[in-house]
Amino acid sequence: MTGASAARPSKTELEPSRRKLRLGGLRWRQAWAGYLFLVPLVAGLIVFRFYAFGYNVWLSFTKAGAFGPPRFVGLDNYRRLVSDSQLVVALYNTVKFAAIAVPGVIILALLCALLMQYRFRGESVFRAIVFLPAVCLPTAIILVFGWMFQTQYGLINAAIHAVGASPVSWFGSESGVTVIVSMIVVYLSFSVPAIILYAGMQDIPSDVYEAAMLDGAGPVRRFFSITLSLLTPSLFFVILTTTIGILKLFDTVYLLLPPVEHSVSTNYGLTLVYYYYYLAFVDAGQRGYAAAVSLFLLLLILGVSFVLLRLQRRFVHYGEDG
Amino acid sequence: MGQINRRKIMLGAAAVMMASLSGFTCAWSASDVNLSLMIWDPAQKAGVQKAVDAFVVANPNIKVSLIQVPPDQYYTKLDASLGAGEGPDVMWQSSKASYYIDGGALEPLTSYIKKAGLSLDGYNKKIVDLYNIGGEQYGIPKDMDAWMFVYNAATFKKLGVEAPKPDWTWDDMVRIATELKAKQTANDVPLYYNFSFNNGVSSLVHALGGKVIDNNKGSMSSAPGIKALEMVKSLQDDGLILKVSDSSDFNPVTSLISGKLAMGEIPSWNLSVLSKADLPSGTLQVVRMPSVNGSWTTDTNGLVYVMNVNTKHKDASWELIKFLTSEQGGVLHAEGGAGLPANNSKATLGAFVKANEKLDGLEQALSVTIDKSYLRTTTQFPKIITSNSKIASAVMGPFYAGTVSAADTAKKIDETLNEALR
Repeated sequence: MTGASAARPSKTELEPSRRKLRLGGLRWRQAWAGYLFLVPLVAGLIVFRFYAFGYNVWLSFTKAGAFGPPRFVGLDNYRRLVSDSQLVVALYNTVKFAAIAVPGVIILALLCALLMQYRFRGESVFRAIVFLPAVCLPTAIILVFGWMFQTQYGLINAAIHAVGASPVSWFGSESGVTVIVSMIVVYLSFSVPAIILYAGMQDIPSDVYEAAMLDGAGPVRRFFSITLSLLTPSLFFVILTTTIGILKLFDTVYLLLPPVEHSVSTNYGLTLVYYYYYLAFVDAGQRGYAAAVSLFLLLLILGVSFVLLRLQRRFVHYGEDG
Repeated sequence: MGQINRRKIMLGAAAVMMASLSGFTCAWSASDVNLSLMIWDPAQKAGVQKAVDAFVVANPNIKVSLIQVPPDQYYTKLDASLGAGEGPDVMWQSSKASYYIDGGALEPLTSYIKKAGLSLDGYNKKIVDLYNIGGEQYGIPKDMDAWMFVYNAATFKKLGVEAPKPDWTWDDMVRIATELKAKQTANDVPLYYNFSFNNGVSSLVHALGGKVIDNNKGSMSSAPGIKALEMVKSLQDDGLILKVSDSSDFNPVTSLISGKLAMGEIPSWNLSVLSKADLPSGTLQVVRMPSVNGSWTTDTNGLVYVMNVNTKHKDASWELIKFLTSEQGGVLHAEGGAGLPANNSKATLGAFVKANEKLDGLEQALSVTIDKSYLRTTTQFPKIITSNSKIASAVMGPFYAGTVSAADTAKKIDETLNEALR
């Protein structure tokens, strides 16, 4: 550590370069060129993020139909949120899928990252298999899963039938939908976290493991006391991003349970984003209320993120520099 | 020298571009009109294109670009383009039209109709009235829906079961389905009856002499409402239709073609898929809905051609709408096989029947079905579209699962409808 501090430049050494980077120190033409490069990004942010967000907030205070100018209705849409039983269903499903899939993703990603640490025959194939869901088209994967679990002609029910058991109504029950959706979400989401955790494991100094081994720590003890502890920054990042991603779950439930009006199964997989989509784009005259639903989801994500960030102070170990 | 040559080349190129552009503008603006026509149903594209081609031949100075947008993207694209004051000159509209009329996006057609001396008596009155808002007619009907029963005659013959007769009843349907079930394998399905609240259940309520919404209030708690719920559920409980919870991924059309399903209630927009199936003529036969206490009915909805209020070619757009909805246009469209024409002429209906001639009994079934139709509940009351989805999943789901009685289900439906109608 002493060596590292000795290599750091002193405050006085930094001063000239900092001065150079200041706006006043640059010629206007150079600064202008810099700002010009920023324009596409800033314009994109203003149009597609800030304006869209502001418009959505405004829309949530209006009755906006399928077409035509929105009409200001004050807090009506927010009052409706409180008494909407479908919103309760959507919230319940969203939290349920997150509660099942987030631990599933973390455990699977951690397991794969650990296995990738070792050298074994076929490790390249294993790494390719781990990364496959990240490079495959999610729609294709979801549809293939849907066909596999199809009640009448699906592969899974054919296998169940072949062993003499009764076929399962996968899409006709809440438990069936929960199993399939959670399975697909875990499969689609674990690849990138596995790579992040694997990269995090590479940063753990080998001398820590060597010291622990000299002290007689076995592989399990080393995993829980060293790997898991020193991996907490990466783990926290993975938990936070996975949770936010799953709270915004849409494609899986939309493709498995498309919005056909006579489906009795829609409520088993109705998530907040799916409900928002239904109100805004399938239904007529609900865009104002849909905007209020989307802001409710934003508050939910902010709340969950806040809790996780508070927990971070207690559980995440950033090392001496952190 | 190099500089001069480059300048000459640039000037020459600019001159050629200007000349070609001005030539193009002249040719375009002199007489030709380019219209865009937007539709959503891929099955109807061939029929619409046929009618459009005939229109272009009859009106050589008008060109028409037919744009078929995937159904689930249609209204999103329409909203974006119409909201920007652009969009297609002519387009399809459904019962959502009232929102576009409120938003000032559609051109009233009443004056065009009067000027052309067009009588709307030749179209299905229910569909005409649906698009008459505030005394103005905004759309000319193009097609309508009807539900009929289709059965696979080969399956009936193989199993030795008597096929449905044109004057069959609900009891006949139950008896035939029970016989089929006894002779079919466990994987086959005897009957498909539309179990949804908005279609199968509601049409049964109407056949039993009731109404789903009466005096702007839900009236499913009436005797016909409860009876209809019980009748459909008993089909499921007796194993004559698939368990409703297992039906979300069941396709009655492909199952009829494959022979897995013996008979089923099919909407008119799927008839062309059946008639194009690779089956010998007469394999699939059509009968009307079974009667209950001597009465039968079918829900209907209808689409219209409407005009964009911002089109720069209003007269040409009107000519296109007039042609597409005329007897000649309707016949050409019907020859494509999809879309039951809303033009009441014998020629259009005849063309539709001929295009689907592989379906035996279609003409007779249609002749006794069209006049018995009522406007679909979500069509007549667009306010309940949201609650309809909620009813399908949150109310009908537990009912078919057997956890809620028919009376309580009817009560919950009424509560949901009343909330939406308020």
